[in-house]
Amino acid sequence: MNLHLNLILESEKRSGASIRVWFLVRLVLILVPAVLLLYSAYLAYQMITLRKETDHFRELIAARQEQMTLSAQIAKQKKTYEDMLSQIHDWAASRLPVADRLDAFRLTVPLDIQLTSLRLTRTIRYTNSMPVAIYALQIRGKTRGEESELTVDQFLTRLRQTPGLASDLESAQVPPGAFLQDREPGAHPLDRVFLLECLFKPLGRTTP
Amino acid sequence: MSSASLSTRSSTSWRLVAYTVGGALLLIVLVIVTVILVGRRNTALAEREQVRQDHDKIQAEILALPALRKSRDEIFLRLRERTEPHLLFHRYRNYQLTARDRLLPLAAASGLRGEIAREAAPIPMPIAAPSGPKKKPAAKPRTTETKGRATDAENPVSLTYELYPVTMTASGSFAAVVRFLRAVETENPLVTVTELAITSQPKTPEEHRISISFLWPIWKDLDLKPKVQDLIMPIITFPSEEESAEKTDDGTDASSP
Repeated sequence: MNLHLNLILESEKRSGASIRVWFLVRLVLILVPAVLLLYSAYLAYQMITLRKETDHFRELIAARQEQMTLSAQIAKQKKTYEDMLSQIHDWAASRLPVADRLDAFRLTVPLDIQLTSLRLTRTIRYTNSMPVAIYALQIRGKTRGEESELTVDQFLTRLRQTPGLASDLESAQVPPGAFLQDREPGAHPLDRVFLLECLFKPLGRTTP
Repeated sequence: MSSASLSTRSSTSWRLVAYTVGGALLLIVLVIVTVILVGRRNTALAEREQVRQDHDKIQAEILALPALRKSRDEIFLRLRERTEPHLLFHRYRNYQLTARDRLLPLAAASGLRGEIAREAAPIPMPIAAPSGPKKKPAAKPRTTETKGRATDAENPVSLTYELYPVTMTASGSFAAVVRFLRAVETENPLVTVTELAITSQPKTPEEHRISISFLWPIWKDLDLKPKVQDLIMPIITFPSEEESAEKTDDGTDASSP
């Protein structure tokens, strides 16, 4: 029969583990704050350095203020000159070379037709907020003979086909009711008067 | 169990509790301080980055200054070349005299006998709307330049140029008109024919009645004319868009010569 006699008090009992809880608590309470303190010191140092760098850059910027102002003024001046140039280019681009068109037009008039008036007008129309020039030509004339309608048709065809004119024309027509008998006193019964309307293609920049 | 050992045990556990609580509080304080410092460091870092970027941008602009100056000068020269010989200049604020002096010799050389009508008021030059959202929609789609003010208040007009209307009445042949217009158009790429009327006269078949209206660009304000001095001291003021809009809205533009 074995007799087990326990002579150790409860308070004298020790853990079998190699690391004690109390030791761990002390270690954490010293180590973690120490690490945090070191990290805080590093952060503070970094902040001071960053502020110094920021101030340095600000000083450099302030020292270049005059050059910056000059650069901004030159850029603004360049933009203004570009706008001025663009406006004058746009204006020139909306011009119809009238002399060339009239010269080309002269060759289209058949011998049987006598022109009584010619009127060219220019209007401005806005396309995509861009001003474009529209030229319209109104021609009044007289012709005689039983085939005067054919003569006017021939005139119209020539207008639409003449190089230097045809490419610029958007439309050319004798409006309804614009081919009439001449009612002037002393006019021959076969005398006819007509009105011919030509519209030129828009001139000018149409895209911004 | 003795009373001494009981007291030792009790003080040990109180010490343990005190250390733990104190340590935990210290830890919390340190964590809060660290978090605040991290936040401030990040702010300082962002601020430094921003200022550094600004500095780099400014540095690049300053380095590009000679090239900017050169391109500005090139545009200035092109503008001068385009405007100097072709825009109409006034003589004692009278454009009609200058127009006469420039057009009538060409007319005479072409075989036209003509006269320039009296002084007329300049009209605004229509220009393309600046890109971006439009402030006001266009009310009228069409305008006639030769009849009064050229553009609606909604349609932008040039702040730099205006158009001087020159009306010429003449008599001569069709061929003479073509010769005259060719001479004008060759000499000046900016003068634009806005209206042309040729009417035959039954009594003189070779002589027609001719009326020609031109629009000739002029400087709206001679102070805006590019000058070489501006290249040396580029401090120039231009009227703002708002000022221009106000002027055209109420039609009281006082800058006409």
